[in-house]
Amino acid sequence: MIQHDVLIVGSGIAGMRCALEIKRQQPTADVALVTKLYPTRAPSVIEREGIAAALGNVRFDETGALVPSRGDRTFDSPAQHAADTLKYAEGLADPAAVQLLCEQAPKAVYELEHMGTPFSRTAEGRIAQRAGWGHTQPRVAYAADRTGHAITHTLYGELIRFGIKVYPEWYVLSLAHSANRAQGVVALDIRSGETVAFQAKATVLATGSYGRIFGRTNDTQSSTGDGLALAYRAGLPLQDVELVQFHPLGLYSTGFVISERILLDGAHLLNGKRERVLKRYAKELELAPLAVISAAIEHAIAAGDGAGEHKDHVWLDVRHLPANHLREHYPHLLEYAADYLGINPLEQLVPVLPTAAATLGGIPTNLDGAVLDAQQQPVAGLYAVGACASNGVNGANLLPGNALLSAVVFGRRTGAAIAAQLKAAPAHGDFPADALQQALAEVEALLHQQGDMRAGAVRERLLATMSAACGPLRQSELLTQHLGSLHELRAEFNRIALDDKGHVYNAELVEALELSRMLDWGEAIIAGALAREESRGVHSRSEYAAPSTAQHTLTTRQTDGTPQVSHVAAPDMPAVQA
Amino acid sequence: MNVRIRVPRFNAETDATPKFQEYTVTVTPQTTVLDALNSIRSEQDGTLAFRRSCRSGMCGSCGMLINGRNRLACNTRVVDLNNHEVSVNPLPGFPVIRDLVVDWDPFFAKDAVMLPYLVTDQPVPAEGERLQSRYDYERIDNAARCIQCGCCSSACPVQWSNGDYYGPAALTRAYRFVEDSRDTAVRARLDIVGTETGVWRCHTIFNCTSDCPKGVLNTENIQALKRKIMLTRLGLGSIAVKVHAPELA
Ligand SMILES: Cc1cc2nc3c(=O)[nH]c(=O)nc-3n(C[C@H](O)[C@H](O)[C@H](O)COP(=O)(O)OP(=O)(O)OC[C@H]3O[C@@H](n4cnc5c(N)ncnc54)[C@H](O)[C@@H]3O)c2cc1C
Ligand code: SF4
Ligand code: SF4
Ligand code: FES
Repeated sequence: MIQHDVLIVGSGIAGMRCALEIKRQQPTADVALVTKLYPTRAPSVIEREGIAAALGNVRFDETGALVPSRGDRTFDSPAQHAADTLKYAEGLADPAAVQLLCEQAPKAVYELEHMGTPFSRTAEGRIAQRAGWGHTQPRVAYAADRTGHAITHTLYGELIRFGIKVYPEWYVLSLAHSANRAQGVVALDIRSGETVAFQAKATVLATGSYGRIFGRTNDTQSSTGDGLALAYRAGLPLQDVELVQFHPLGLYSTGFVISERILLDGAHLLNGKRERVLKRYAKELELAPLAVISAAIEHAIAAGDGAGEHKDHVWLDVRHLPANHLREHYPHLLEYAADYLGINPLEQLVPVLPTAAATLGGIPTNLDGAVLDAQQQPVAGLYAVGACASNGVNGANLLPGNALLSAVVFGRRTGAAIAAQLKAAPAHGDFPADALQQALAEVEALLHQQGDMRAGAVRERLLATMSAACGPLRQSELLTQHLGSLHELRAEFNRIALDDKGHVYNAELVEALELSRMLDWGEAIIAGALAREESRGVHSRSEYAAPSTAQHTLTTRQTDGTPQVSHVAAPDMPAVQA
Repeated sequence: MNVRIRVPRFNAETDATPKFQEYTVTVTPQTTVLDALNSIRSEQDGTLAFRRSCRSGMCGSCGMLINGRNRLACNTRVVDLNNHEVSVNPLPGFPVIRDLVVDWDPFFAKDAVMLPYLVTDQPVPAEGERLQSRYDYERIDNAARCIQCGCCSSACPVQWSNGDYYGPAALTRAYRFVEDSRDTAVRARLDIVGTETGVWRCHTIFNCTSDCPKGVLNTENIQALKRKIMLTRLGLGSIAVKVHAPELA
């Protein structure tokens, strides 16, 4: 058995920031990260837009153009940032959480800069910021169009500076708990095939988002929501997991998001007849809310107005925008179009359609990152941070730049809380005797399972089912039907046989383990979507056009494996201050 | 269209040499090499081992030798290879664990030697960020694009013959901090790279620059480090690392 004071599952921005804060506050603490990838390969590296904070480094001039603030940094404030965030969250965010997030934002971003993050700069030499959809001030701080990459690599350097131990390419299989306290995890060393117990006084889940369960997504192939499974299988609830943000500008064939800023810059969306798609759906045309644009594209395609051979997408038209502006501000568009479609957007139309872009729900926690059980009580020794956690800042929609921000702010805050806990220094507890055996049994059973199905085929059906059931527009009938399909898929999973029975780097095994977990918590998404009888933020139900009472869904797994949904009232919004 | 994909099958635990295997895959104009490998694993042969994560050329997991060039499988479309036969090999110069999966530990160990974090004797400002001019930012922008995919190091003939050579990716990492106007450990890093296993091994063959999928100018960076070491030895180091004040507009 391997022992550490603190074990962090995941080495994305949230996990690394948390590890670092523990080491800064408690240099003698023995902190380790376990990750199924190498640290610099975490999904955080693909985030492009930036991190939101009211630094006030630039402002809009009278014409709406961005100019350096020349020392006057008073026109933006954390309060304004919080007001924008709450407005966008449509009544479901926790005002206290949002206030904390926005107040801590400038400090969190400055700290990243002090660590050496290569942020782009204003003419005054300050961190560059740009406008973001839904932000009333230009407050999205960025490093070219690879902000997540810049921050991830910087934090990785800090891990090396502090000599923090990383276990790369270990797949965490289960949480170990005894005496109402988390005791660590059991993990599979992908490289050797060995299954090992890790004991820790504090265990942190920082496993990232869960977009991979959708057929068309911006997320990585590793964003399989394993952290949700770790909690869900341990009998802990999942909160608001049905809330998934769809982005209208997903590149055809890959689902990669093209920044919505391009719509503010005047890009058009055209249907198969080369007419503006939005003309029939929104008077603001391309400046309508993103959810409206996504829905309009879905409607247009369903009505047979799609473009291309299969009428299965629409066109993004940027040909009328200045080429140098596109080259400077949208290098990812030009790169994606050339690499994945072989086309040049300066001269050609770009095929797009809605894609799953961000997942908003997760493992419920308080503002110190402590995981909450079904009774809203903290589970001793267990924490969750970053995209896998749900602590009330997201609400029913997410502003650009706020996800990276909460990974950093709450990673840091949770690290500080853990460091304080360690000072009180409980000794290692009793590692449950059967945890290792159970995890081993799961792996061995899967390796030797006989059957007539391929894991790949079951996965394809799962992704198709989730996309059909829980896309941008949701219907009771389809949701109920697909809840049933998921039961069938679970039965099919018991009929899969792996080709690879080996232990060394068995990637097929890891993918099958991910699949079995997605089949579990995938059901929580559909059940949550069904229980949320309203339309609010990113969630649209065809039968319920308006928002109902603001409440969170909490989904737990019953002993027979089926999901049970309960509701908790969302904290009240404060009276709007003038 | 059908293409044949040829892959060496190898397991370091059991095999002395790889055996080649061919798979036939149906591709569309959009199919990437990674899509093809994914389809082999899920539809034909689950035992094929390779790495992937982001699909979008940012995480550096999927560097491979594809039809003779080191590239990322995820942003290389099969049609762009203009060939019905695609040969995919693990990154040359890296120890192979299994099939297309190589051992990254030596690569990341070399990176760690470069002090890949900001080292400065300047105090942290009490308020706000450290200022950096756009000019100074541009000096690190290219090197900071590196995604640690290993394509450069595996293209480097010096790396193949001398496993101790730090290789272009690690040297570029050193360069990224040496050039950073906020960093003051220039001397320490020049001492690290100015050794027999460092910049003086490089024969300026440019393979590393031409195979980098992110356009990182490795060879130029290594040459610049050599120049800086020489200037520093002449006592003129500060000339090359002068900080540029922001253009106060
Ligand atoms: C394409 C894209 C664009 C985005 N754009 C924006 C944006 O514009 N602004 C913004 O603020 N946010 C954006 N986000 C969201 C933001 O990037 C994420 O919320 C944030 O990076 C999440 O960081 P994280 O550390 O929580 O998780 P991740 O970076 O996803 O890291 C997860 C870690 O967990 C590990 N892991 C997972 N499961 C296991 C397991 N079973 N065993 C061991 N390890 C495991 C992984 O290896 C990885 O290290 C975007 C996200 C995506 C995907
Ligand atoms: S330029 Fe130097 S580092 Fe690059 S390939 Fe040639 S010898 Fe290797
Ligand atoms: S310099 Fe280029 S080729 Fe080398 S590791 Fe970095 S991104 Fe890859
Ligand atoms: S999968 Fe990330 S770079 Fe190819």
